[in-house]
Amino acid sequence: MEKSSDFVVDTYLMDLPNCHLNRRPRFRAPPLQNVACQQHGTFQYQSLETGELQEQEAGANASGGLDRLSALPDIICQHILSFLPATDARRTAFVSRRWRYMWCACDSFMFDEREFHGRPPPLLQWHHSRQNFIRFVDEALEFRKTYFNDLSIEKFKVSMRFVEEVSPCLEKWIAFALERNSEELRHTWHESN
Amino acid sequence: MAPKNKNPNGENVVPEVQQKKTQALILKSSDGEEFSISKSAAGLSVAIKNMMEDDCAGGVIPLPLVDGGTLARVITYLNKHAEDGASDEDKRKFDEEFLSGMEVDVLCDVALAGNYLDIRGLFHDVCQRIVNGMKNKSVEWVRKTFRIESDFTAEEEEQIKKEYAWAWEGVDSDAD
Repeated sequence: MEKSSDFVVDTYLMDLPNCHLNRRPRFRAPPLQNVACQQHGTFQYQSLETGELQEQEAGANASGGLDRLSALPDIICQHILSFLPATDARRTAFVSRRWRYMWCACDSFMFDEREFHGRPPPLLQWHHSRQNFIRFVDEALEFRKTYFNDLSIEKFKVSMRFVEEVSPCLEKWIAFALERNSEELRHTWHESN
Repeated sequence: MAPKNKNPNGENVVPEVQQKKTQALILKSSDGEEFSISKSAAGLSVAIKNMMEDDCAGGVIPLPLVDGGTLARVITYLNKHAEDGASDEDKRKFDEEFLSGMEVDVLCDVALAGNYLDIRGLFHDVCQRIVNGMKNKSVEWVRKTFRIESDFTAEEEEQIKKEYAWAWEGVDSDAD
């Protein structure tokens, strides 16, 4: 994994003990009789970092405030993040440890060059931005392979203008999607602006 | 018209109007509140529908993961969506208003219930709503909005900010 000025693979994260999640079932509600979360208002979740089952008092954190969002089961958190544009989802990684890898376990991976960093880049910076974008996608896939290789992806979408630089990555990206039983694979080329 | 179970004081309310209506189910929340709901409204929850089809929905259905307040909200939603006369436009408007008044905590509860009861539309809309608080927002903003406490050490925080400077650039201003 190469270093770049803009996106650097998070090397200190790589040193963590093996991150592992149980294979996630396809999105569906747990059966009603299966009371996985306890009735006393505590949730169980598997720590992304240690792989240990942790129990968290519903919403209670050290400061006494209520962090209900982090208390939700992984599968819901991941589903929530799948609604975000890629850079916003990625940004949540820096919120707390609980969210560190949540973004790369999502059931859909969608990248759109035009939404990269929230808006299209200034005209003169397209080239630079495009390279960053390609690197960003590559890195996201690297993370996914490293930490959640066994999770399937339902939707995988890359949307960008076709440029020479992307051709070496294309095969890799498509293979990635196919290996993970992606049900919907879409690669859109949009016209030059 | 399906029953509405308003329960502002957290008291047990079992509507009596529904007694004569045969097409009704009783849902019981984790804290013991009972709500009656028409079968057509309850059927919008795939989980409850499956139970009805398997014929194990006789009498009272206990929902140990959903508290009374949340269940009341979910039932309001289901009733609206099962309403005969409601057009798609009505429902869309209702959804908008229904969710816009909710605090973050409530949204999380409803998301949990929507997933558990497998109500796709509700779950989808709630997730979308939660995400709105994260889109193009700074890390600090997200922490504040959802009351997430950072458990990174000061050194880690500094290192992250250095390595991922982009994550702190180009976001909306934190000022309200």
